[in-house]
Amino acid sequence: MTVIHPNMADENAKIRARDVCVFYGDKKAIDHVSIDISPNYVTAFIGPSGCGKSTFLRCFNRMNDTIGAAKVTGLIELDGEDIHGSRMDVVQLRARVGMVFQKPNPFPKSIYENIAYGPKIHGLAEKKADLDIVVERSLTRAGLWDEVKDRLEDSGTALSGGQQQRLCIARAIAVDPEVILMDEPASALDPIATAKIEELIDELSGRYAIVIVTHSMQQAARVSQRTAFFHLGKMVEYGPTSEIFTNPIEERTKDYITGRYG
Amino acid sequence: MSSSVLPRADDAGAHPLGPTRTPAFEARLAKRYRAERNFRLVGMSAVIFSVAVLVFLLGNMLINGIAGFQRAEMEVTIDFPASGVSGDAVSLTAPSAMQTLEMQGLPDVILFFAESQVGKDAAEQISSDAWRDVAAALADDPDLITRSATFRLPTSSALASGLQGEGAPEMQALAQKLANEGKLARNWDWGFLSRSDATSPQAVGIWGALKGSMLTMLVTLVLAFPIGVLSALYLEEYAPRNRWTDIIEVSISNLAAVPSIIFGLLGLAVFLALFPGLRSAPLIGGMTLALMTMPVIVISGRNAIKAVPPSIRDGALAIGASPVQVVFHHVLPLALPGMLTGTIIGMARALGETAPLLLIGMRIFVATPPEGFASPATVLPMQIFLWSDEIDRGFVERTSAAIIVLLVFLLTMNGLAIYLRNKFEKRW
Amino acid sequence: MAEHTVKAFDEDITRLRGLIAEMGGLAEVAIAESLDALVRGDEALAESVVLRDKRMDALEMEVDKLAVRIIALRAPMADDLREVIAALKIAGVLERIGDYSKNIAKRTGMIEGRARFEPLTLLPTMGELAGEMVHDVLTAYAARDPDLAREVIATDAKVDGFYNSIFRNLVSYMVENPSTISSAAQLLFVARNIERIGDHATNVAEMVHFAATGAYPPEGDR
Repeated sequence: MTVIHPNMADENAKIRARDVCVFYGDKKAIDHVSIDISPNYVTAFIGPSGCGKSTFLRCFNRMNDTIGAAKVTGLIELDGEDIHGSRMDVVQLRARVGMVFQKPNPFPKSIYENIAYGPKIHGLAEKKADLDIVVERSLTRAGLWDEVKDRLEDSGTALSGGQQQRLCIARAIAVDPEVILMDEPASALDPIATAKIEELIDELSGRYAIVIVTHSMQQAARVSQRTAFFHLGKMVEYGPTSEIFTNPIEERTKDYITGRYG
Repeated sequence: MSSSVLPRADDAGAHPLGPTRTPAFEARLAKRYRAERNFRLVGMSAVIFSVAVLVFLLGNMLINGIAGFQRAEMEVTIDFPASGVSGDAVSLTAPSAMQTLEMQGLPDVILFFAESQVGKDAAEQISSDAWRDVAAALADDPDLITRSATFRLPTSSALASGLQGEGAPEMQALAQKLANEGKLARNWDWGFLSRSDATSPQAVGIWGALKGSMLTMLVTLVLAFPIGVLSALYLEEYAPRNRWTDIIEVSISNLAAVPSIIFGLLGLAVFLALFPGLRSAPLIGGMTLALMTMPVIVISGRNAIKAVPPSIRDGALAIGASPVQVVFHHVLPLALPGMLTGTIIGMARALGETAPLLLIGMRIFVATPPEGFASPATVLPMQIFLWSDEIDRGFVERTSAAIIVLLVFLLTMNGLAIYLRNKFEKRW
Repeated sequence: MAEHTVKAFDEDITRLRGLIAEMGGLAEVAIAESLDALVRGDEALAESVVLRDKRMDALEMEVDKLAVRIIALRAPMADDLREVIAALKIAGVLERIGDYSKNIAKRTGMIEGRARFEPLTLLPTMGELAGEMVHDVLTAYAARDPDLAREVIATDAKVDGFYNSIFRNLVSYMVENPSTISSAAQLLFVARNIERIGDHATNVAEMVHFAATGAYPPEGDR
């Protein structure tokens, strides 16, 4: 029984999910979840470990396809287009819906190459001059340009953890996505790097629709405007962040966020 | 942990280092230190032993082999103007120069001058092919024909043995006498590296076998590496996980353990049946060895690909790379060092293989270096095997010299591969 | 309601409630005793009421410190957060209620000629009502009971009614007995204080309602 706060439906929803189920073999990891992701807000998915929030997030860019045993049913639409439809090219989808992972995973190439790779393979920029512009723009938007502009040929893996994560965000931005999915982006980082990432999310939220999975409720409360609480594969409650954290409707939500869970 | 075991700090018998160092603890500690020390000693002994064996082997080879790079040569001065042999720059460098000089009686000329300088007995011991060396020298420098020159000509195998204090006593005496006169000596024989197989150890060279090995290795590499790498990529990245792929994986692992002579049988049955005219050719040898090397490359390739962290793949997929792009832009570059290691191992094994090549006929006597991939050839280990079988005492050193050449070739090949591997090594 | 996974959180909340309960108890006692002292002219009792008010001040400071500590260390959310904020505000209000009682007690020595002072008899009843409001509202706080809180808010009307009638009574008494004006005036202040106590209890009830439900009571009740 999902509780959705009033005024959460959005005609201009960027991503619309209806009755989505995800099966790992026989096990049902996501059970009939429906949600509208708005382009104007940062949406946070919270919930205890193993509740399926990461699995559900990965449905949006069809990363579950890479796991052989995973099966996704239900409807997921990006701008009204079914992402599992025959007309949707999964490679194109992943350029429009970018992803940042929990552990920073820059390619073992130079910083420049890391950013330039995406635009090159998607044909967004080919000449060196164009690529230079894209690289600078992406790194600036990720708040990393000043720190690395003099060492773009250095390996991406030589940066600190926080810088690597911002590099991964810049890499995702470089292909000009419409949505950015973030799977616990700051959980491997120290508090200062975490704060920088959160500030970055704030800045990016105006331009991209952002969905962030986090196991830190404080982080969800800080960065998001909308929050969905997941429990055992079901979405329990979905509403404005301020409401969820000050006056949740569902008992399970309240128990979780006040620390009475488990 | 009962406190009754711990001695109090003011105990007369308290351990000076603190109240927790009881006798039982001390015993355990000593035992632990002993175990650590013993392990280190055992490890070091193993390493020292291995190094000692290696040094012994190499040292042995080197000592024996050095002699193989020398040969006994007799000094003979030939006065060309007086000899009756004539020619000019054109005729001496022409392809038919050898025949022309032979027809002019160059061998007899040499014999004549030798007899007058060192005596008939000694002159008889000059190698019957020595005149070819003179002809070659004339081809290099046609000017020589206008004056007299001193040549160092190879002797017969018997005299060479005699110089080293072996063989027939009269040969030894003759050799000693000539050596005292300064007419006979062992000199560095760089020609060893440019000549091919021959009947006399004084005249053999390793180049034929060396070129044969190079050509065969080239064929092996060109066939085994791409097939091995692409197979490994397909099996790891694309093949579905079902019973068939499991069977394939087991089969390839077993293939790597099959005795090499079986591959020779396979080569005989299949390749020679397909190309009957190419018996003993590097092409067939290479194909046979490629069959043998490929499983090694596939196995090491698969392990190298498995070692690429899934986070790199995820990152590439998430940015919108297609599966092919993920494999060739990200997985392959990271797996390449491991693949090259496997290739080195496989190729080194192939270089030293004799058994499979025996069966496809590469154990022939090849007096000239192979011209191409389809001409008859032999390879270095085969040459070593053939020479080691010879009765003539002079072949012993030549065999050791050939082993040294093989080792140097192996080292060069490995060095090149290691250089390539280091170049591609990227840290992630 | 389930317990927090971190038991220390529960202990902190329990301690906070205990402090509020203690303050509430003191407030009730102060109201009763101050009026008792006033009516009987017991100056010793009045003195003890004044002295005990210091304990109220100390308790308020403790509540402040504990609430801030809970917010900093436990990051309370939802109803936990509302309860802590409410406790902060309630402590302040209770402290003011204590001040009003102290004020009443101080006026004990200023009343002359008690025996014939008729209006004096009205005050204890009004005080009891106010005291009941305080008692009930603290019960509502402990039980997180919004309905009881709303009842308390409704009772304020009665206290206001009492105040109005005592006011009229005293004014007419003063007109008839001009010599008692100064004492009667004191009683006016006392009545005013009790009425203010009732208002404050209503404030507390509103906060209790907010802590329990996340919303203030509907307009009509106030």
